[in-house]
Amino acid sequence: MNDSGLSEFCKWLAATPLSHTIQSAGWIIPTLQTIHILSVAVVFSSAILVDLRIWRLLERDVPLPEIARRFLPTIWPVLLILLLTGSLLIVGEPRRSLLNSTFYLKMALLAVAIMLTAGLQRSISSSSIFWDKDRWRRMAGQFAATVSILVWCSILFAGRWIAYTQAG
Amino acid sequence: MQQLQDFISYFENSGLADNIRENDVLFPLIESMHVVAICLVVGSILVVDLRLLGLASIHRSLSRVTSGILPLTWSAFAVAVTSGLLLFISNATKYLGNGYFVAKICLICAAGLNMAIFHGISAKDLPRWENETLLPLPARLAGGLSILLWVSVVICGRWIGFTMRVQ
Amino acid sequence: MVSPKMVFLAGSLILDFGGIAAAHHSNAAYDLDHPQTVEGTVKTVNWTNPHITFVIETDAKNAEPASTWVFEVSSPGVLTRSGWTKRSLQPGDHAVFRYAPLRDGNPGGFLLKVTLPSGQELSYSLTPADQ
Repeated sequence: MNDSGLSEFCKWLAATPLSHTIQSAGWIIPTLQTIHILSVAVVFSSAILVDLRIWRLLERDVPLPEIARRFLPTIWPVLLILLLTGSLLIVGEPRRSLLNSTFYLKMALLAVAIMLTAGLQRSISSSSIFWDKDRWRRMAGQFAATVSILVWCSILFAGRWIAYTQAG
Repeated sequence: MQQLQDFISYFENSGLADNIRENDVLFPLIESMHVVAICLVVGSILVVDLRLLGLASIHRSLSRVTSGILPLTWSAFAVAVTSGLLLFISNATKYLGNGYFVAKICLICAAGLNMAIFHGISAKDLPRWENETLLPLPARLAGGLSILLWVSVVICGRWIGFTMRVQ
Repeated sequence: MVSPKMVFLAGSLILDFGGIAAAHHSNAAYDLDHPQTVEGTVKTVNWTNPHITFVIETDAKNAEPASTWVFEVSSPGVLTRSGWTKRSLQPGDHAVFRYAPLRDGNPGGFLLKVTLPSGQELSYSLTPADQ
């Protein structure tokens, strides 16, 4: 990571008119963060509901494909809202995220979560008994669901923790 | 009033509160758990509210939607309240002096009241209409109000962080 | 048409109950590109999560009377990782404070460095890599 290059980029970004607008109006960043949090609630809950169903902790009597079809598709458009609000937050406060290792950890975890969730969605829609064929599939499904829950929770932790490892 | 102040001080000055207030890791940890919990509360309640509004899960009866979701909602709410309480005692007096914090608690109570009232008035004839795609007006009002209240809770929650007074 | 700014201001007026006119701002509220210096005495140390604040009584200088300022820093974790302790700055300490001023001109800012009379400097790195 080219630290001084990144620093210079942050300085440049902070000086742009868009950044200045976001910085000067005190209500913009809290508003962006609020929309971000609400979107996280939708994405996170959707993923967790499906993971809990795989573990048969919720909606046991409903087939997994039906649960997946109800909740997983919502994730993708809402991720776009997260991308938009997140980008504006970065533009408003470049140093807070771009010079913060916790932010990059969050992005790496997000990449994993996206691949995992997309994989789950695809596998479940390809075959209704993909994760239920036999004992091994069931165990593999529970493992995948557990990893999914842990990764998604870690993303939320990392997101909050950004504020605690930023220094200016 | 003095007794209330003493009661709050007892917790605010406890070793536990000191630790949460000053420790490098404890506050972020508890706060993150609080965020996870409230995301699940709001996200899960949204599923029920969208059913009440007739916007999602419309081919399932209301009681099936709620029975499938509310156990998660209540578990997450328990975690949210516990973590919230721990965060609160770390700076109780200042939080009580913050209007957004007070508003947030009131809004949560209002949301609970909204659901209790709806449950009370609809319980008797629920089986008659709960399979309909479009539910009766009280159901739609309760769902819409619930969304407004919980979104407001999140807004107030975030705004607490930007409005804490120093002294 | 009610603007978001109006709603925000109205909300602030209704929901802000008294206290020193200083609250946490996002870092965007501080002008980090034009740091200033001021001398003063520490009145209060709020070593609390999520944000540490120091209340300072600035020295009367030239035509400017002494006044009460609030400096915000980061969290206890960031400071302790950079060598601070809870007792690094105590009420009664006189020091030179280098800070990024609030864009709206209110007294206070984001504290960047403290120079104690002994010459000791209290600072923290601007990138977590150095912590």
